[in-house]
Amino acid sequence: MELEELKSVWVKVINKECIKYEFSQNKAKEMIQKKSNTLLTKLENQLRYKRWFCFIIGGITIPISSIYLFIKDDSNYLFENIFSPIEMFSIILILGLALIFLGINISLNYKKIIALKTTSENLKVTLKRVSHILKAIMKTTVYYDTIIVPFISFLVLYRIFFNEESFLFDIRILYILLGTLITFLFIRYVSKRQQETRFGPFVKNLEACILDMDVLDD
Amino acid sequence: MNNKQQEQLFVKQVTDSQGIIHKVCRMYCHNDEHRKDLFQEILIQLWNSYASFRGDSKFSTWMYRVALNVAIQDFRKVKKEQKLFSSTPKFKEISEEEISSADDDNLKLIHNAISSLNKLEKAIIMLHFDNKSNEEIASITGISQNYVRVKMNRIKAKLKKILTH
Repeated sequence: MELEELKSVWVKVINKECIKYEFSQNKAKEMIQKKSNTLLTKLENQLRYKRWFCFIIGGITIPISSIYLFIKDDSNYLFENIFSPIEMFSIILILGLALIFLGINISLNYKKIIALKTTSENLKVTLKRVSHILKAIMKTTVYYDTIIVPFISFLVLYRIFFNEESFLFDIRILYILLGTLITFLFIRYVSKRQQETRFGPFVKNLEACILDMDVLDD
Repeated sequence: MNNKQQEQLFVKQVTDSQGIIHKVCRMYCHNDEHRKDLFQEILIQLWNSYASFRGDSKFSTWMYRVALNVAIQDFRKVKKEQKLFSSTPKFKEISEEEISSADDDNLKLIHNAISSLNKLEKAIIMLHFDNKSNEEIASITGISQNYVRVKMNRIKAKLKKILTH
């Protein structure tokens, strides 16, 4: 088969597809509305998964932490050289509670989005509010990460440098602070990136939908 | 021209040249769902960019540019990030009954042939099939006429190899 034959096949296929399509401003609006609603549904699903992830992992972590209450100081356990069982219990409990609180935060915001979808009469306003809610969720998650992880890093470093010794103001304090600062900066970067990857496309697409609606309103 | 007249003119021009959108969709998407999404995205983009169309070039040239931009850049990005559009644009699709086995073979043939081309090559061959001159192809795709000629020769060679197999 030659290129000219392929061309004629192509023209034939396209001609079949060229069925008159009536396009109007209302149809454009309709399309953007459908696109926005689909976007909101996808976002709801994403938040639902994240909420359950936090609740399940947090819910598992809390009972696990209680195991450390029954472990004797001279037994073998994770990080036995750094932390005592009661300290391990506290750290794991804090991690679990942080996840539960994060889950609650996401859950509340998820409910806000559902309420907005059902009560708001204007889709553009809904999209703007959802965009704000989403940004708030991203910020909160980054806050949680940048508080909890450096805090644990601080405890670990403190234990490494001052193991069994009383606290003294010396160069070790600088090492601990430096280590904590590096962990803070690293975790903030990683957490921000992670949130951007997960929710950034949603924010971008929500803003694009709002822009589309602005153009149509003009 | 007021908004209403502008809208009417746009609707008329898009309706008359809608074949361009069908061509771009057919060239860049091989399944119905993607094609519907792309069709919808191109229409929205055309509608949004219409205010910036000053008539310096032909409407069809401008339409090709917008449609190809969406197909090559934005659509790919959106699809990569996540599937956002599950809604169906209201344009009549060819039903299964309407597709005869001959048409089906033709579609397979076209898919086989164009799947070996990259995004720019797809744009060039599509415009060539639409009887556009090298000058017009260069103007729409934003590459030089010489490069269009070189590319065309390579595409022809590539397709010939596939079609003779």
